[in-house]
Amino acid sequence: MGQSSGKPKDLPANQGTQNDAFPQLPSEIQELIFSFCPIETLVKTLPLVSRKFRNIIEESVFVWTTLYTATIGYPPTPEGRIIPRMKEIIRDALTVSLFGNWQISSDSHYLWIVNRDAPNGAHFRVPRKGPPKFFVETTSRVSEYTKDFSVSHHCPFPRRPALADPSKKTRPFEHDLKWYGYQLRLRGTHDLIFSASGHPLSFRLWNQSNGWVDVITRDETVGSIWTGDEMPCREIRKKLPDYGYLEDDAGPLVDETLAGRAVAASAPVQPPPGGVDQAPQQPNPGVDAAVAPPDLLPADDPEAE
Amino acid sequence: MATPAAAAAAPAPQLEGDIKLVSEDAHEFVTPKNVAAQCKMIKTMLEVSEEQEFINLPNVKGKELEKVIEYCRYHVQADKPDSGVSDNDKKTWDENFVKVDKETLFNLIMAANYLDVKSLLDLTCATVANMLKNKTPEEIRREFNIKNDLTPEEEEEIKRESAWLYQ
Repeated sequence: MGQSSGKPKDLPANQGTQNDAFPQLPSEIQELIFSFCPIETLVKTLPLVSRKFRNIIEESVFVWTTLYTATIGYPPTPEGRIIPRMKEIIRDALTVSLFGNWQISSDSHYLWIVNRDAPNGAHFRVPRKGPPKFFVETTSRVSEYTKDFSVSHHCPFPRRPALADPSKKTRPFEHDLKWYGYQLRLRGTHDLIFSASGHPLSFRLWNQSNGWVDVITRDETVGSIWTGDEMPCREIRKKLPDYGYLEDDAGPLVDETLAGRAVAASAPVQPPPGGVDQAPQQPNPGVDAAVAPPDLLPADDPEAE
Repeated sequence: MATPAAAAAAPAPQLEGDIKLVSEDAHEFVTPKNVAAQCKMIKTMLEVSEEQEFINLPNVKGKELEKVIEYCRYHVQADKPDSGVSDNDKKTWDENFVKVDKETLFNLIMAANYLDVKSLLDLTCATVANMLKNKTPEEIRREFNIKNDLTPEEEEEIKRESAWLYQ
């Protein structure tokens, strides 16, 4: 995982014995060892071992920089090497990427991809016009990650036949985004596809235009990438009983957790004031009512990155 | 010793021949200079003085010095572009190399750090990090003889701070 960027200096060799060698290692070496640990071990386990462990982790820019690099895919900027900031971004990255209850919708300006289970209310908001931007929005701040993802042409998934009515004029939209090390493919006309690789995820997607539901899952236990093309959702449900509550693509999404929201979301979405070319800086109220979590309100004092 | 003017014009040392490395407990290892120079600390010493015949390493015992030399010797050969050794083979060799008891492993860490062999330092530290994985705090304490000096309140605070990982 980690790579040492330097070495602790001027430390004597040959310390410790079989039983007490680790506690006797200098803090600099312990710090280096910790930088090779997975984030869960580092955050959940090691601080509970001893006060010294906790202090080393809490105070180590090196550890957090290494973890940041491993999680995000590249090192933080020199100005970004601030432990709370790096922790926050790592947390966002892992939270957004965690398995959860995902929804997708669109309006004339944005694709909205919301993980309702994300404890920090993180979601994706990708503008249809102009360069793609990525936001993680919480109740307290808006972070715009314009530099933290890249557009990629890599497309590992089979293309799904368009579900949209060909007689309708559609807005082609396609981005392959790589963000925090995860490949996200977004495609939008009247139907949307949101997929991810590199993480054992299962998504429930909802298209506001036609209620079409798609599920794209990479289940490492199965070792395959399942899409709505390859397997009906109801079969996925059998495959992934723990994930549950999946609907097939025959009708609008209705289930115990989203029924009310699906009905509310079926109302037409009005473009925001200012017209199409003026992209809103905050979530569109029409979309928010249907898609964004209740706590995903415009921040009072958005803090741009 | 070369004069400053001569040194400025002299080519970089070729690191040919052998050098005798002497451990803290007086074990001597005659080693090719290009192998010894995998240790940046030794390389620097060789560059400063090409004529020296031995180097004392007062912070490394013979057992670990022998292992470090073994590691360097292997990688000098295996890392050559035309060595024919695949990355997988090297990885396997490294994994076997660090299959040692904990005391040796920790001493190897210290030796790699002292001698400044970055790849060996990374390898040994990653090995210890692997030993920490998938263990509870109590198991780690037992494994490494660490005393728990955290109060229950501190433990609760830590758990609260990392609650987002428990979602």
